[in-house]
Amino acid sequence: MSLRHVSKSYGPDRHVLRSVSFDLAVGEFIYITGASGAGKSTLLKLLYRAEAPDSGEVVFCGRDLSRLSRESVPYLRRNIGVVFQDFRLLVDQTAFENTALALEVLGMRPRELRKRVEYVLDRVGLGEQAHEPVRNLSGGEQQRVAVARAVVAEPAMVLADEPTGNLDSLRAAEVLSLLDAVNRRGTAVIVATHDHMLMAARPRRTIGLSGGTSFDFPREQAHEALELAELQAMQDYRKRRTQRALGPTNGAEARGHDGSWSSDRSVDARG
Amino acid sequence: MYRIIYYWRRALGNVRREPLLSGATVLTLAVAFLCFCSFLAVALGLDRLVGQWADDYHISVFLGDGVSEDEARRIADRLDEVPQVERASVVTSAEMRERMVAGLDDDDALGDLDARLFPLTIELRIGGDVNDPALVAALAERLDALAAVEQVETYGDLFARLRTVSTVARAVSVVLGVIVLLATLLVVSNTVRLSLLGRREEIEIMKLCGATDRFVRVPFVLTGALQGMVGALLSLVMLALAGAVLQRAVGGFLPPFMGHDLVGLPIVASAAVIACGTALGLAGSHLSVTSFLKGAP
Repeated sequence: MSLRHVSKSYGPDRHVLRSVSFDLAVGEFIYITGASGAGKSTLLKLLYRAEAPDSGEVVFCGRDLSRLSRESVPYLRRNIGVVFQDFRLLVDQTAFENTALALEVLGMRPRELRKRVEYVLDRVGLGEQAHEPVRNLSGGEQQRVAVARAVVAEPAMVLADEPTGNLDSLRAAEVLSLLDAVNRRGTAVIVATHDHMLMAARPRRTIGLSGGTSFDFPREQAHEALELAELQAMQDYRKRRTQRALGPTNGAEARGHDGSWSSDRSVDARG
Repeated sequence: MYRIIYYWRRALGNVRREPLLSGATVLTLAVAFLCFCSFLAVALGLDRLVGQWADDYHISVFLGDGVSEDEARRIADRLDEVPQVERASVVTSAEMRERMVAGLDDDDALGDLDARLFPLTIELRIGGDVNDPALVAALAERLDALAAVEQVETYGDLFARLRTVSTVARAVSVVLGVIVLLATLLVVSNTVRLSLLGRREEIEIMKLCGATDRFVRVPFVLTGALQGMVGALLSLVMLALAGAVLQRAVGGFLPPFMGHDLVGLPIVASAAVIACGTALGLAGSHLSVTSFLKGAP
């Protein structure tokens, strides 16, 4: 997976990603981190093609995803497992049925499907609760079902968007162990998180997002750099809030002495 | 094969998950189809009746009291030579009485009537177009001019009225058919749309797992087809029940008068109604799912 100068905005005033570039090797495990609203989820959406970039390239297995036709998107997604913070499970259905969904779309024969689902649910420690409706499971168990669904089709890559956001620290560590185990079997894993404790417990390559741009840094600097990025994000946020409070009637002040738009934008544009 | 089984399992699952919505849809379609089928049955019945009468059509020429059977046969032979007449046959007073008595109960007083009260008659089967009233009227006028003829009965008025009723019933059936077609499309597509909206999240999850549009679409389309088929089938059952009730109520009166059951639909028409219901359900749900999936991520 390779991102080259990827930009994404939602409207003219909301630039979420600006020229983001990084590579992900086969079987690699990386964290994507940044403050809330930094663009972590947007970045993941670009990877599983829920969104298309405004510019730049997202290359997966040699294909530029931004040029993928609508009909081809499902075939991409069969190679990518996704885990969400809010689990995104069908709560009326059982753990087995939720996990089986990823294989049903592939048209797998029922006998093989049953074997694979049972095996994966065993691996995530839910063999006993396989036929329990998901709504009866705890948060940690539900997230394990989500992980099982993401990995059951043996995808090339698993994306996890704040997978531990709704879990206590013990359950969070369990889920991360699962993703680690998936990675050890050769599947690339990208975890988007802002949980420093989690990253400190299992240090991996970390890509930070701040002001829409990305920065890749060594593990030992991760913690420090993250704090710095969060501080920067907070300052940016305060600046924007102050500007909004001034309102349009004070536009002259906001524009600055030379009549150009505020320094906030020019800072953003520079990244 | 297992993919087809999977699709059908999901389609039936859709019905099971929303039994009230599915039931209401089927019932609405059944009522709509019942209106259409009732008129279709009447139109087809009248059509058949007109056809039967046309096959059987003849003009009755009642002869005067003083005309003997030999004289009647001579007149019949002469009429046989008229180009529009296919066949002319004499019905004697005794034969006419026999026909009359055959339709009566044993204890009916009319059975005691004397044969002489029935007129000697010549029945003319018309060879040309019996649907041409001018031809029939011209022939009747010529016959009426004969001295031996007392009265000519062409049954033209009855025939014309029956044909008008048949045409109106057919036109109403066509109009109702179009209304039912639109109603079915609307009902099924809206039901499927409601179902889709209620399961938006499930569809999103399926698509995130790599489900193609076809994978999402097919079970919903099958559900729509199933609802259309069951709706049409139910309307035929309701029509048959209504027919049975009607038959019981006016059973002694309807068959001799009409010659056949007016309320039921022939097998071919019934099969066509079911096929039509299935196709409309399929089309309605297909439209709905396709437009829904266009907006899906």
